[in-house]
Amino acid sequence: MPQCSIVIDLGFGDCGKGLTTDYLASQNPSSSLVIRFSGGHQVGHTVTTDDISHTFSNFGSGTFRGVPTFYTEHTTIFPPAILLEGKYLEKYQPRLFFHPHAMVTTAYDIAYNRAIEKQNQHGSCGLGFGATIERNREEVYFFAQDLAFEWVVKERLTSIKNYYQKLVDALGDQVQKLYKNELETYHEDDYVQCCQVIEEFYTVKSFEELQNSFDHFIFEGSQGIMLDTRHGFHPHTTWSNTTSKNAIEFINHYFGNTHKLDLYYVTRCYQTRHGNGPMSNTQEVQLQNHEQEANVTNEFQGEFRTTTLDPQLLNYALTCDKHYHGHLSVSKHLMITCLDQLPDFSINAFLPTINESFQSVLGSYGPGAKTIQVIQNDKS
Amino acid sequence: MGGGRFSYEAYTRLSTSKGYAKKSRSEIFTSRNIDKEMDPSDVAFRESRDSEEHPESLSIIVGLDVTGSMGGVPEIIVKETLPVLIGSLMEAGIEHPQVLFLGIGDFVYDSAPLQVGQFESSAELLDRWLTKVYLEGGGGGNNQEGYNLAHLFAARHTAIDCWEKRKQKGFLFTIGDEPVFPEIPADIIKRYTSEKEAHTVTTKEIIAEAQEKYNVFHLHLEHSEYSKSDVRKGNWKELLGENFIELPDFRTVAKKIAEVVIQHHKGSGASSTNTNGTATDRNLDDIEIEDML
Repeated sequence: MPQCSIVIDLGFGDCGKGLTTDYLASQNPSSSLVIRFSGGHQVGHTVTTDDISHTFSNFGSGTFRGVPTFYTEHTTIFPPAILLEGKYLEKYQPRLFFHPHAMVTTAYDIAYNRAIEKQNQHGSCGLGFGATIERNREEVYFFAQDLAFEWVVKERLTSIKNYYQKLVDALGDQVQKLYKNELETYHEDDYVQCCQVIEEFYTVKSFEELQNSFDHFIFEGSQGIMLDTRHGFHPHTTWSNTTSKNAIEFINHYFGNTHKLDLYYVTRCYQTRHGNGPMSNTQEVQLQNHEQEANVTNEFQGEFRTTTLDPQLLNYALTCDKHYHGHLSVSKHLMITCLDQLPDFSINAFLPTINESFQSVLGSYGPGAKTIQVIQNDKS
Repeated sequence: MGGGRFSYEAYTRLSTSKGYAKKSRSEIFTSRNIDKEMDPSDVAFRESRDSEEHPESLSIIVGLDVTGSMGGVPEIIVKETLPVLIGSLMEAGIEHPQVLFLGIGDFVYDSAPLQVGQFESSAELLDRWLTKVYLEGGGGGNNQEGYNLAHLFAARHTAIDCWEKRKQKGFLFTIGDEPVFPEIPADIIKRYTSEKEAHTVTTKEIIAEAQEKYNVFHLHLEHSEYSKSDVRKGNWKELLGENFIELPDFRTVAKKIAEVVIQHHKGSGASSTNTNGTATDRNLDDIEIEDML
């Protein structure tokens, strides 16, 4: 019976989905497939091994274990970034499978996103993810299956360019100027070329063609439940379902009832928020061993903040997620990361504040999967 | 949201012009190659030696950040500013400068994080390395670059007569707009230098090692609003004290280097035992450096 493991971040992102995915992928790499079912090329999932520490954006976090990644139709892909990251990771032979309708992001999506974000400051990454989703909802499409056809790619780009020009024209001088600046020296030929060159890294496949080749399907979530398009706090939300919703629908569709389902909820042992937007009012924390933090303050997302965990918010996140799988038989696990950074944190004091019983509680004490320990294991 | 670094970088490449000489942008995308002659991985030493023509050489290393965060700045510096550096140094009174040019990238993200030329005594010869350097336009969204590779190379892979024969320290300038990585991991040292065995070294340690034979400086270019922020200046001040120099106009890089060299060189020349009246201790007190550059 195939095993499905879903990795979900309970907070505002940055909790350790990369670490958890790598850990799960390490258990049986040759028969595992990582599935990206939300978010897209804007994510940053850090995996640390003895050889390398890398923040994945365009490849799944099982890549160092030789595990390929499938991108569903809910995700976005950005060809120039696949080329760069793919070349960088070449010696690990990274492999991608795209659902034929995975959404392709263009420079126009990014330029539009940046022009708007420079005005609004909603904490976006400035990589056009939301713009791509919005454009697809307006039925201006560019799919993974188009990439191999050069003429089609060019036509798609023309449609998308015209689509944004109309939007920008309606938004006034300031946005028009910002948008134009972004694209001032953009070279479309390079983009078109990238769409061709990345062929070495991906194959377009329907999931039916793949599902019998693997036993363990690791659903690598993106962002966190507190940024979910429905459960996050407008306007500081992402354009995707960051709960287990998409994964559960996918599993129901392809596996029916014949599967074993595990949910891994991930949280750091303190609260983090990268970017603007609210976070609950708990105390600031003093961290140690924190030099390897992958998150840094940047031009688009703004500051990276850390405070103590808020059990109420975690309970809220768990409640949000429950509605998507309440009818199914699920084993739930809790992964608490960065325990080495906050020695004051007491797991025994913390667990009773969470209104959920977990089959196991795991903790990480460093950047790598090697540092993960089973803290509690309830076999009953 | 750790932030899609490769996606940032890919977008930056698409939307900024980094092509140099005859390299088209598409070539940069498809062939990310370092010129073999500038590959440090099998260089035991770059030598800066005295000769009949240049009896008292002074070794000066200039390591320029050639990553994407710098936008079009490296291209302008390489094409317009550095070619006049040797001339500026000579005009300022350094008779026998020998300049080694290094291209610096991000060892986490770039394919060619360190590119090394040769010590050269003439503008024509230096220009050869300036035109060869591969302007990778890379770097990551990690707000750090591998400037410490320049310290590493200077400390362990250069042999300079000014120090070995005359105990006159050479000069090492790194130029960029970001903080430096806190350390150089052992595997990076093994990958990008000729060292077969290596231990991870902290930036502080490798700077101290370089300081044994070089005066070490960092020029921080304030070429954009972002580059003026404290987060982009990192702990350079802590590492280098007064030798961390903020430069509002990147076009004055060569002038600044000549100015710093002449100030410090004169000082150490006067305190050295060398009193035979050559360039090192020529009295330049009254000369307005600005006018000479």
